[in-house]
Amino acid sequence: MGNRQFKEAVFLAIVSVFFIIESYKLHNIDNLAISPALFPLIVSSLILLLSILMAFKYRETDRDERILGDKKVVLKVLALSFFYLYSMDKLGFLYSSMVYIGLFSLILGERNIVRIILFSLLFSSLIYYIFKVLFRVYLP
Amino acid sequence: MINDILTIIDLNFIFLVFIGSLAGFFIGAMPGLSVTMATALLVSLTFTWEAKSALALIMGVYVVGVYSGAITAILVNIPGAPSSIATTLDGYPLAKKGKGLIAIRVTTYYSFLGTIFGILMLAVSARHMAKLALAFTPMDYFLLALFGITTVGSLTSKDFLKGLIVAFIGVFISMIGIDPMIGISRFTYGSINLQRGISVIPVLIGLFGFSELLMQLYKGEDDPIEEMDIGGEKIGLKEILSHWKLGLKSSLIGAVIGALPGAGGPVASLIAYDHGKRTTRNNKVAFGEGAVEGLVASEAANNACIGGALIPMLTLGIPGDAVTAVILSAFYIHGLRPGPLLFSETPEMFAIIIAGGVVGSISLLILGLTIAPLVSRLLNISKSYLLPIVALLCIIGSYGASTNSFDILLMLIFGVVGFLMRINGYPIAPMVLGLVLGGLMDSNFRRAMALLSSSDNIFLDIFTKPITVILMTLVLISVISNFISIGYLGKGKN
Repeated sequence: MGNRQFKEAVFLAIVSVFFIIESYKLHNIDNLAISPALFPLIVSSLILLLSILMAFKYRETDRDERILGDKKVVLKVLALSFFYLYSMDKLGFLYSSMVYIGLFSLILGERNIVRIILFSLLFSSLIYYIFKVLFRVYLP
Repeated sequence: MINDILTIIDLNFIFLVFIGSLAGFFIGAMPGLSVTMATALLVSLTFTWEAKSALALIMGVYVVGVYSGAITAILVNIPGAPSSIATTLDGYPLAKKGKGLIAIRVTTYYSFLGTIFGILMLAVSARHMAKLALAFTPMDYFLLALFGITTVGSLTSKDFLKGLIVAFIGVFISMIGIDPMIGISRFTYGSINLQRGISVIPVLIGLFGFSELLMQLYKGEDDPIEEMDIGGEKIGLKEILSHWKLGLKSSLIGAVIGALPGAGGPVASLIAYDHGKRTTRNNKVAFGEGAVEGLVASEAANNACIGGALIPMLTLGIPGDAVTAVILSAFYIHGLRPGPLLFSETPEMFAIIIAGGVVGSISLLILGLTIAPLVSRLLNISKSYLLPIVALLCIIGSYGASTNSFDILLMLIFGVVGFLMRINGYPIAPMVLGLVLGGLMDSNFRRAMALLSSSDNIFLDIFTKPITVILMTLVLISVISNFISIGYLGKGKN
């Protein structure tokens, strides 16, 4: 009974109980029919029920269908993306995007520095022009 | 009416519709740049124009913008709008098999068919369809959305239970923010950003676009884009048009659902997809693995919605979706009054919309068969350049919708969530659908309960309404058949 999908089902059931309690706290008017708590209560109860059914279904399975792969490169790109979000307000969209694209290409194995710089400059400028000038979207 | 339409179509009209179509093609393909936003911009830009020219431009953007959401859905698994989600299910697998051109061609032809069907429905049966739309009660809207959620079984080829759980999680997420009926905060925990609610666009881009990017990095596929040699496979017109019956049925579904205010493209394409999956026999490829029939169903339906959504707008003055709400404002700005008197006071306006729809459809066909394949060739570049481009477009797409950095954070978070869901075998499309339909379900359910609570005989109120009974039956059939098909009670069976 220690398989991953069973554990996921139990986790979902616990989280849904938490949200059932949180939903109940929203109930503050006499008329239940229009209470803001009604629909969240129903939905979180349904999630609880379905999680229990899922736990029952996977209680004895041995098959683990998780896809295996390279976590390191994913983590690097995620860290870079969050850093890009942080730096956008500080450096502005154009400069932070140039750095982001350049570093991203390096992570993926591109080693031609001239090509990286040209590509980063060109593409960031193009995107900036299209969104800021043509579509008039405000950019930091 | 045909004479009115022919009188309206002149070179200037065609030119304006085509310019709008071109703009709609690029805008609709970019996640985060919605057709609604483009239409709103056009309403202000064309403020001083005459009504005919303004509406010509707007119709071009509308018709082709809805279609072009399918292009990125097929090529990079990022739907341009929620109505193209169902298109990713078979479009992207087809593209990965090197049949992207086939997917684009099929999408183009059946989007054209769907649009023409919807416009014809508008021309022929606008008043009758409007009566049907008026007969829908809040309970019916709720059941329609619930039916959309239960058909999620079609979207999860492996596990209906997981799909349903994910869909209801999406519905729950839609309730974060200010309650639309009472005005209190729900599940915001003091955050001002969460009080705005969770926007669909960053979630859509994160779950589909960014998570797909992370999957490609994770699996370490060497230049998968090389496999997408979209020029390789050919498909004859006869073979494409052999699915015309499914196309027509899906178009009918799309037009009818489009006529229901608020229901829209996502519901229509999903229900049509589910219908296609259940009724198609002898398809060469299974649905969800690159079935052409899946594309036919979803694209015919979501484009037929265009004509459907215009029905309540023109006949009742009630917009069918967000874009028609903006078009409605264009009518008022130009001194026109959509509604029951439109046909008697300004019948030429009705003809302008029909003409714009027809010319827009032809533009769709031209652009889809000429420019779309050219645009898709841009994908034949190295992964070390393509993936950063996709990442940047995901980020800018999330930001562009509301110019709030919090939406970029949401996109990244849901990108991680989507990635984790994929590697652990959970489907992602149901979550977006739950988020899209959740608001509709919540408010209509509570309205329905409020009406029932003041009723003398609840049983009579529910079971004497044919639409309610039909929808309830459909929901029950959908749930029961999905649970039976997965044999859920088996011991540890997947």
